[in-house]
Amino acid sequence: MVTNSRAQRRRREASLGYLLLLPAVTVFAVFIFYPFLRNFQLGFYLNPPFPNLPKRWVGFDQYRDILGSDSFVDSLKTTIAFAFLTVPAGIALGMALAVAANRKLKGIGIYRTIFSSTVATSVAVAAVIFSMLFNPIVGLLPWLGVNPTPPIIENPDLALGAVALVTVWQTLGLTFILLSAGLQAIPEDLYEAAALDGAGATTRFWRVTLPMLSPTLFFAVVIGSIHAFQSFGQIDIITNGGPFKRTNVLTYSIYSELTTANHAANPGKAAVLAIALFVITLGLTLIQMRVLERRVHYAR
Amino acid sequence: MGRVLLQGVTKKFGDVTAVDHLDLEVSDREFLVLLGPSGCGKSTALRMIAGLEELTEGTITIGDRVVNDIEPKDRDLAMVFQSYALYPHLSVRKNIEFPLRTRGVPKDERAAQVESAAESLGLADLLDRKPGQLSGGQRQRVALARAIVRDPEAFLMDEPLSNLDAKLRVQTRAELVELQQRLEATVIYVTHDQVEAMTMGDRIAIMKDGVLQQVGPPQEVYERPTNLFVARFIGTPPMNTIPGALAGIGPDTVIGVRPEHLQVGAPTDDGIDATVAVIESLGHERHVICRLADATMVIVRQATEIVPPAMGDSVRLRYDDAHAHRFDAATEQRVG
Amino acid sequence: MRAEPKRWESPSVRRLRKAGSYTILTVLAVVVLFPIYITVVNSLLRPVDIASRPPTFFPTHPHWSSYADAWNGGHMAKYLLNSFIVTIAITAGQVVTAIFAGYAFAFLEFPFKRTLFVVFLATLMVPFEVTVVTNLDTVNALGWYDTYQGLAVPFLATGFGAFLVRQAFLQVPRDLSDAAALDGYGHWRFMIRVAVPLARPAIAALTVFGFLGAWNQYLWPLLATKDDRLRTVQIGLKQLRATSLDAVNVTFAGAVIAVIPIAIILLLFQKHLVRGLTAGAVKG
Repeated sequence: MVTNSRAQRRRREASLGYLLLLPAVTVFAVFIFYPFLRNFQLGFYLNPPFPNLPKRWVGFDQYRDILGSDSFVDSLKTTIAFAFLTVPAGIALGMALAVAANRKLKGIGIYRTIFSSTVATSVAVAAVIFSMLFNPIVGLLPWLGVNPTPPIIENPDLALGAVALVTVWQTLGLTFILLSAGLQAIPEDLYEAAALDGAGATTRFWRVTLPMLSPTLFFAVVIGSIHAFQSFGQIDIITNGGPFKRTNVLTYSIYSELTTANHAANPGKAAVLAIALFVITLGLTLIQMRVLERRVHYAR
Repeated sequence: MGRVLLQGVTKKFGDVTAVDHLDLEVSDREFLVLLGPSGCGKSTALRMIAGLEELTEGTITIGDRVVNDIEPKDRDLAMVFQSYALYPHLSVRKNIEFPLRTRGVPKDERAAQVESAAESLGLADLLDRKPGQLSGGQRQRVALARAIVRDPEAFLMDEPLSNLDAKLRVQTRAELVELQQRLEATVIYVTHDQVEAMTMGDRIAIMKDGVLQQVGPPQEVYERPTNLFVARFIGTPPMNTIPGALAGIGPDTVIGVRPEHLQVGAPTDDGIDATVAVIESLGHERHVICRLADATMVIVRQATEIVPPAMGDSVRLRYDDAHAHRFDAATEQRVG
Repeated sequence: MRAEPKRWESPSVRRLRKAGSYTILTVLAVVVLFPIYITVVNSLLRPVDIASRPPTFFPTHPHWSSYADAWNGGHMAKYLLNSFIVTIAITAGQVVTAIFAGYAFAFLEFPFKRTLFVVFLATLMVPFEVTVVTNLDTVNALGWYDTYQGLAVPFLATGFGAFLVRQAFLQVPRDLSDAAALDGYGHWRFMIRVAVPLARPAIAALTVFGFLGAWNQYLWPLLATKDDRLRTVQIGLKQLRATSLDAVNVTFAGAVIAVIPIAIILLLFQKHLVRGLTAGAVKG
């Protein structure tokens, strides 16, 4: 039998608490918070054009130069355009699948599995498959008549749309699963009550399904947009940011500054771009929350 | 040595005093019931004895050691929870065995103890089921088995019957008392049900707003309630309270009379003026509910052999002074 | 499920309505599955046949050699192994750190608990892409460039996991931890014997979720490795594509190989993935 004072017992409990948090906190500190904060410091230094020369302190000049540059603004526009090409289309298609599969029919389970199947693919798999489908020699799209010059992925007008198409398809399974779960959570008696009130199928969709589904839709929009802003793999595989930087989204521009393909790596510039990406993602989340929250019907 | 002693035990949650200077002694082999309405502090008191809540003030002694700074597991107590607190992922056998494993009881001995505890509670055939496959009554028995397998200094029970249906509750009540006698165990039993308290307890401790109101054997609490709260809380239907002015003894006193001690008389008899409002027949007896001059409702218990009054009749109510309890109208404390 | 209007319909109308539903569902299924289907078909054709017009949709003489080429010549075997090593390490790490942190937040009291919880949630606001600049330096400084630990360690903990497990632990009735305290179970034993088994659904969801996320990583493995012997499937696939159009069937075979393990895992644990996703939705 051990006698412990209250203070001792509290101290022991607290020590255990900190001990249990330590592994996660260590990972967060080293690989999230430290690099996040160091971005700001890196941004103050200009990296020399040749290795082994000292970095030069330039203060806020680098922030101003980069954030004011045409290439940054273009990249930002591209990223926003990419989000608009992927999010609404992805949710509309996912919704169509979810509504179609929300029926009591024999064999519906097979359809549900098919509709969620794209979760098994990765961004890289989807990108490789579609880049083959876009290919003018072996691809099916050109055979179907979509055969522009220059070819799809080298075409400044089509490349971004092509990458967006890949993204919509690849995320379709995830969107379907999410919206389906939301649909199934709507209590059946709401539909029955609406039917008794004389509401037809269309009215029921607009008056019952959509409002009840709005928290899920809200979540899907936020997550979808954040994913869109972080998209990288499909661009790296299909277009390498081209043609003429038409698919040079923010994440790709960060990556370009870190790799030494054409010029010396510039962590300072990459850091400033990373901060911009963070601010935009954060702002996007906050704006979406504010705007959508008003129209979201919180059923739970 | 299952004595439990509480001295000046106080528990404050921020500004709220849940238990206020509670003094209570539970002797070895005693069945003590802590009774009171919800929020009166009885469960908090029990949890402090168990060591699940720390004391703000006071001391708790179990056996002959002060346990304030002793961890729950070292207090040698077993507790039965209202929810039974069975581990849903473990079989009945594993649930009962649980407290033994931590105490380093050898495997063979453990199995034997589990078997015997299960046997004594009629659970022998259910040992390999999961709690989810059991009825409420069976789960309650598993919780009991888990407590008795430990052979603790004292048992703490927090409303253990309140999740059972009415019929099963009556049956289990008797079985619990029998079990306590057989094990010669000390039991501290928390309930809000005064019938449970009356039928099971060697003594009843009644609490209200964190303050102990009265402690005593059931009959004593029933016959000599120390204040109006206890008087009204114990007994069904509850004790009638009649303003002193109507009873002809002045406004400073309230008269308490139990329903079985009131008689309905003719309007010409002596007694208090009343009108019959409702008559409820329960089969074996009858409740005549009357309205007094100041609209106070009183209940009279009547044997079915007596010819009932009619609703709306004017009557006089009589009682024997020996059965009248007097309370101070201001302090609500018993007078005399 | 949607309640169908309960008015009387003649059997023929009902049959027509059903046929309509199946038609819509089947058309949608074909559209969704088509890219995967054509990938499988092309992996079984010779490059010449893939380029021939009109295209072949139903291969009558499948050529399986592309799979052997992808597996050996394309190093898919090695890439798969690397992906499994890194993914299992990441998933195990995420589950363990989430159980630990979730337990601390749900069952223990200590100073700055709320602040620390906010810190955990704050990690969800920082996309990984924002941290790559310095993480690359850190991994280099630790000598972890081109190593498994360099690929895995940065992802061993997530705020999402800790949050998910904490929520599940909060559902464990207080009476159970009180009973365990009286029965002499300390925190470690209570965590392992009671809390974790009871939180199994959430932990399973986190496992599937973590596995999927780790398996599909692209940017970090691309940045943190250069040595082909340490490349994961996703990066390997890119290299397979880059080779040449003469071996386009091998690229398709590689894509199929990359999908199969994750498809099997998803088929087995579909339910848990759905639960993990919906947990996120409730949180959002």
